[in-house]
Amino acid sequence: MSDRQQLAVVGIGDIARNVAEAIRYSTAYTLTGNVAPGAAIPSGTETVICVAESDDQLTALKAVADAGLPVVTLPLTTTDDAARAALGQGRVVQVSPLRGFVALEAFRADVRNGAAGKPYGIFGAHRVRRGSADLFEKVGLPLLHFAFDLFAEPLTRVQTTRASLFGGENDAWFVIARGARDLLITLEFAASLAPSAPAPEQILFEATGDAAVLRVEPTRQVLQVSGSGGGTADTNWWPDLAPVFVDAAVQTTGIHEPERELAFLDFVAAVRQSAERGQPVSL
Amino acid sequence: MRRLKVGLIGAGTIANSAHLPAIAHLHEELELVAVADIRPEMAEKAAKEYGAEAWYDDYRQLLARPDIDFVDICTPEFLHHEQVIAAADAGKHIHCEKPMSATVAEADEMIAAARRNNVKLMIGHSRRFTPRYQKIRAAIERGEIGEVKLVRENERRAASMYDALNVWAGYWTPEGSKPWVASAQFTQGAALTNAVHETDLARWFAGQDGASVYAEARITNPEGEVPDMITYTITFKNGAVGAAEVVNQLPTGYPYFHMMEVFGSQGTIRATDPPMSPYEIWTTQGMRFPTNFALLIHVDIAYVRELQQFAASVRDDTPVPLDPWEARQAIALSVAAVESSRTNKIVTLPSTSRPGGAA
Repeated sequence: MSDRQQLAVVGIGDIARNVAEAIRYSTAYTLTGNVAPGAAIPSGTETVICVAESDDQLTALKAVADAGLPVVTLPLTTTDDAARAALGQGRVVQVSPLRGFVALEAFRADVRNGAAGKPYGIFGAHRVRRGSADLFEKVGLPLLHFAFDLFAEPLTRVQTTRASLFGGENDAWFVIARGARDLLITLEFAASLAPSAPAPEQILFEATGDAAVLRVEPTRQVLQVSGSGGGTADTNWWPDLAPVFVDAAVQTTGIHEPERELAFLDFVAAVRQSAERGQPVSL
Repeated sequence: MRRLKVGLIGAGTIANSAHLPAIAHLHEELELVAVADIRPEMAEKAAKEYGAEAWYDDYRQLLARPDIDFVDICTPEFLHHEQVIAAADAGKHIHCEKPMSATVAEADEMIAAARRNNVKLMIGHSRRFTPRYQKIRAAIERGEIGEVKLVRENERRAASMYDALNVWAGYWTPEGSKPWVASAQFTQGAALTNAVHETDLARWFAGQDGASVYAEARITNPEGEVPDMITYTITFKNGAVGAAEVVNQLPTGYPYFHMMEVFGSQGTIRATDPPMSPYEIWTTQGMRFPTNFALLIHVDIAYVRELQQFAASVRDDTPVPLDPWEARQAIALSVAAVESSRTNKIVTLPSTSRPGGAA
């Protein structure tokens, strides 16, 4: 038996394939298998990384819970009683896929280690191309979770302005949240990038505090080609996200705080509720 | 060209850092003849340094001079209402530092006083005269990004920036009080002192008045009594969105950074300082930006342009380059943001229409 951690991946599609591939080529882990949501977990598995999407998430978590294994999942897309029950089964930890960006991982570690000093605020923005589907699930939830995870400070109030600005319905979201110790979180996610934008995504986080300001924009890493025709083309030049995400996921399984997991669902529910009501929501 | 005689009221931070140098730069067009400040030593210092023949500790003495063509009011916003109306009643044209006033009602009365006395009134929203922002506006007007849908500007300042200005020029500190910028008795905080730039720019670029605003604010300076950090979301009447996060008490060494982004139906404009910083120093301690040349240079130019264009409107009796209604509407948004941050509710702005004719 190898001393490598035995990991299974639950999910189908590109993300699951990439994550499984990263584990397969890792020197730290062994892939026990990549299975569909609801399928039996391969024997020998020690930890499950669940990258099932939307409707499949709860089905996948149920199967893993039945196997009695710790599981890392993408942020849950539903916040109802079933979702809460799923988080209460065994050791389920949510992880933002943004943690695949190594620069964001470094930023997160520094912020959580107190590099900003007494924190003032968090600003986070994630913009994707216009017309991108499932904005809230694919872009919003990861952003919300990444921001939520930076500080342990409980949130007391959330206000969401939701707008249809770029040709899609509800394609721009603006979230302002306040912490119990006055931390101000300002988040924006939108399908706002024009087709001609040099990179398909734009991510920016800033943490401000009395000791430091930390700023990270991982998507600014581009390959720029100036051709003989006079034009300049930028293409994104980002490292493969999956290996860093796998490391982040495995590390996270050691930190299981059920109340924080549920608090995140409360945050997400408040964001949605505020958007629908057009009023701030107290937590 | 006839040199216009200028009387400056309020010889504090913004006067010393921007207005007085700009007036000196425009010496072929403007002549500083008098300075007034409640602190006589500040009035005297500014007058002597910039060649004014007289100084006063009461601005009314300055207004009584018949030779002054226009006054440049550089006092805190809570004094603007009284001083602008007094200047208008004295028949002086008025250039007044932003923010226009502490309330919308005050702004309306200031505009009415200028009309009543047939004098020109302009509020110095310096970013309207800053090349960076003028280029953005020009691109919007040319239709390069289509209809504006989202305007965001985040603004970041270090606490040391205020310390430096305070040492150099001196924030007015009334007896028994904190410096006025930190005192709840004299200001409502960042929403007006500098986030009014963001409300004005968002409105200018969106080409719309605000319909509603939500804001959260906080005090980060342990010595402060008013919020020095604010984050808000404005919904404009056509559904476009304006957003800003303004933080004023960042650690020493942090540069004066702005991140302006305008998203339109056909494209995007980004004018953000961090990637534009032309000077970076890498050491064993990491990287630092000694200063942010790009915007600071533009700021200097802005005040010169602003005063020059206002002076031209006085000299030629033409409309001022920035109608005070624009500043009034920026105040309406900023004051609504303050109210929202205090009540924790979305504040709906009343419908208003610009009165006919420019002041």
